[in-house]
Amino acid sequence: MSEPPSAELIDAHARAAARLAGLTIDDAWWPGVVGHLTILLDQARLVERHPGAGEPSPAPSFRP
Amino acid sequence: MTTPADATETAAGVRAGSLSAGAAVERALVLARGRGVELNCFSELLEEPARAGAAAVDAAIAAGRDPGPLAGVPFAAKDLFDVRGVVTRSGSRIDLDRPAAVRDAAAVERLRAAGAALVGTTVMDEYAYGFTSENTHYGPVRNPHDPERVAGGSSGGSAAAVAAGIVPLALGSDTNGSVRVPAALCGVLGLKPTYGLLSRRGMRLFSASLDHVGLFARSVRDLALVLDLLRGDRGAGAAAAAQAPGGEPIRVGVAGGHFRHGAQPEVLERVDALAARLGATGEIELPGATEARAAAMVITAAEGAQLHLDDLRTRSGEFDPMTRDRFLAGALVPASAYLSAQRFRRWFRAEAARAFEQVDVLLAPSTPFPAPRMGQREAQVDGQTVRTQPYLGVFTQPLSFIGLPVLSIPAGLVDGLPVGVQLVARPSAEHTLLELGALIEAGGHTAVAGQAR
Repeated sequence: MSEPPSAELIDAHARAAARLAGLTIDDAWWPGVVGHLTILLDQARLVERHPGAGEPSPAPSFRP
Repeated sequence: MTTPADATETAAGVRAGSLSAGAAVERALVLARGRGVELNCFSELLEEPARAGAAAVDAAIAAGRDPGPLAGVPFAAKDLFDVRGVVTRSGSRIDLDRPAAVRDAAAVERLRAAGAALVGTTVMDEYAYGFTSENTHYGPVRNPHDPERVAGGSSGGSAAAVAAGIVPLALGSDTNGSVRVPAALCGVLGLKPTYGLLSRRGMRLFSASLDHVGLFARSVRDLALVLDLLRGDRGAGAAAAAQAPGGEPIRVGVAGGHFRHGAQPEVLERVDALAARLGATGEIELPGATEARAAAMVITAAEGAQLHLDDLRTRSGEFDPMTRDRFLAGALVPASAYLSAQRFRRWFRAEAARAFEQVDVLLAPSTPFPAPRMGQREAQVDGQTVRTQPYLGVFTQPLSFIGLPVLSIPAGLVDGLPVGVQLVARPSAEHTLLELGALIEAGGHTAVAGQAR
């Protein structure tokens, strides 16, 4: 995620991810959904660029 | 207009026999049917159960039994707490199809056991995903200070009911600011305790790794009393701190960096005025706060979407359009983004711990501006255009992200509307917040907004 993904790439990801998740997204909602996803991916890039996101232990841990 | 009694005063009157629980509850019900309807505070009024609860309190007093520390106190609960015999809607239409709850949520159960009477459940953003309580299914909650403005969210109905003097206490939930934002915009006190301190049993979750039970009240002593009751302390820790402020000096600082930008200048002036009053030592940086907010947004969207995935697959058209697109987007977030956001929590928590080596309490704005108008989608801040709804959480999200206890206190008016200041402490230091809150309250620097009309 070093470079911002293009709008086309986000759209392609969203369509594939929605299909895999079993989600049917109405065409009328599509711009809103992709708009929110774009914001989330921007936020995710902001976090992933920060050294603190490289901490080795993920918070969701499993203890048998 | 007189200031409505707080819960402590009402309970004292009922316990002393100068006021019946029935009369206290009836007064709340009358207000709920009038002002509460105007403001759209309530999802459902629970008149008969409330009257039955009050009658039980009055009977206990007549029989010489202890009616409990909240005897006859009317309260409200956000519509995501289970209430026995009531369908928990969480602000949705979809959940109307679910069966009625068979048991009260832990928080409701404890307040009722203490003699309080639940008068109704309150309107919220659907599934708690929002900061304005503009619910398409059930209508928007109106701000008691200006009905053309939002009450804040997602616990807007609870905040408005307390601000309007309908009830002195209300339960809410806070994932990213859903207690602190409406508390600030409605001019009441809002407490978000440390993550995990209060039981979430029977509370419908939104984003499990971020969800907290929270409280609204009109006095610090009420918050302290209820916090102790919800923890099971029966008047021990927090109440004692709030009743006897002025022990060890509390070191206060102002949260710097992220918390000093992107707010209406008058809001920051309210923070500075309180800081001066408290002898704050200066600005303390919380590095990474902007990234913390970003990470909280990613986690919230991903966890919220996962929780509702079945309904998103089969009933997406029945979601509130205000939340639907965001839930759907959350279902499409790559796992790596979610895990990076979770990893960042550990780093940011360590940074916050370092900050609290220098001070006991940090001050930060609760919201960047006072209550926006209904339907207002954009606002101008620092010459930038921001999306009003999500931006309301800009100063609350980094703090709940790492579960810190926060008390939002009223800090006067900006443009004639209430704003709030967050008092932030290290984990499990609620007693420090309540002690400082009581000092501020006693000093008259800030006052809970009156019976807003």
